[in-house]
Amino acid sequence: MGTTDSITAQLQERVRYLLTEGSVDLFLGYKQGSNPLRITPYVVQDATSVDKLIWNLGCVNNLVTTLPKYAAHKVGILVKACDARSLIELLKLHQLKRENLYIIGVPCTGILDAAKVAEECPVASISTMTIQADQVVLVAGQSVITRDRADLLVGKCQTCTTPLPAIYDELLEAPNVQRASFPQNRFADVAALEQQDVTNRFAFWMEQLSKCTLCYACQTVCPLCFCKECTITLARGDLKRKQRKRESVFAFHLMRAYHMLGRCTGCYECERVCPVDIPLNLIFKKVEKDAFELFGYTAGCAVTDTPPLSMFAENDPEG
Amino acid sequence: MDDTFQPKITGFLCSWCSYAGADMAGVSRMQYPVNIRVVRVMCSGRVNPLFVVKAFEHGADGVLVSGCHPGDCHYATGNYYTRRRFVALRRLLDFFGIDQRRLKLSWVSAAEGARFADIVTAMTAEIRDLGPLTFSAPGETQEAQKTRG
Repeated sequence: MGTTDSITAQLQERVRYLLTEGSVDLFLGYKQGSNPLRITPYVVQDATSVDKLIWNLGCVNNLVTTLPKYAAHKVGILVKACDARSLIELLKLHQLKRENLYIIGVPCTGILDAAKVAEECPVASISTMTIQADQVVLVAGQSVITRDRADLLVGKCQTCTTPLPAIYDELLEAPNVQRASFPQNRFADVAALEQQDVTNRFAFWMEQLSKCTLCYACQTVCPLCFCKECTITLARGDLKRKQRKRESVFAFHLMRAYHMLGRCTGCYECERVCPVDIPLNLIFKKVEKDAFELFGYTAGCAVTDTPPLSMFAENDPEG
Repeated sequence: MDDTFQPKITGFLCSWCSYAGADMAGVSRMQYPVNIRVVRVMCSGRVNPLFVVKAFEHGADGVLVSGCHPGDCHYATGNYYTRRRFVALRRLLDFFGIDQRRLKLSWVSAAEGARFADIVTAMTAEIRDLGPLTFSAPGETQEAQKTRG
């Protein structure tokens, strides 16, 4: 029995207990979709459907995105280390009540990128997926495929160093959850863009953002875009939205980046859902880098931190 | 006709110091370029970065945000928050490829009419050198943009 199967079993047992005991009204987890790497978020409302819950290397979605919707209920949720950071940020910004949450942490050694896996083998034929040290091992039909983790993991997992969430009520058990150490600098690509001439950067972003259709999927999926009404999105019938003028698209992305300063915890769900593949991770890595360089602040660490733009120091930098 | 580029600069001036400073420049008959369009706000802390981004979106070539000197804010701490916000916003603008010099944050007290005139003169010259801020692609006319998509 693989690690993920053992985690799935523990998860189902615990959720069944929580629901029958009545300590949570509903539980947010994952369910198997149409193939082993197509996993959908799943809300369990009664103990009879607990068997559908699953944990495997395809559980990429950040479930925290849906949490504010259920803020009035007592909710149980399954979180990975990266999702826990978003959760901490929501608690910090008073969007959730801690006493309404029951958090089950899952040890995570990385999530597979379905697109990269699809290049190696037909995804539907995969029967088991495991990560052993620095190798990803896939069993697909008769063949066993072994690859370096860097080749198959999603981008954010390649530089992640924390297998365990920073906040949880209970932690599911798994042996050997040691992260491989990743020497890569996660800000390398941002730094490379920063090195370029300002006009080149403008050209780069104009080219990338000209693909944007203003579908606002990035804003919808973002766990930290929780405003009920957004001041920077345009209504469906708005002519400016239909025109997709470069300056409107530019203003939207720039303002969203600014609003994420000191908030973005780097789950990069925005980039994952972007239908035209704009490299949004660059923008949000930049935001994270700035928050640290200017204010020594890292989002998603502790609920008690004060957001950097809600405070000041007399000796703040001027320029 | 003189065809030097005349940049449009939006100025957000706080009511207590910088707006009074601009007024001082006026009553003292100091000359400064007419390229700045002034919006009076109660405090530089009122200036949402969205105002700045909207100004750029709607055709401003530069934005000046000006308030009381740190420590002299009429509301005690408003301009300290402004300073934090705009340091961050300027970095982001730069990352997106808009020259940092297009957004200026300055401190002008009610008595510093000459300083205000100097800042506006210098900023106008700087932005004249940078040229207009245009979002359209090379060769793409504004008409073509309107019909796109």
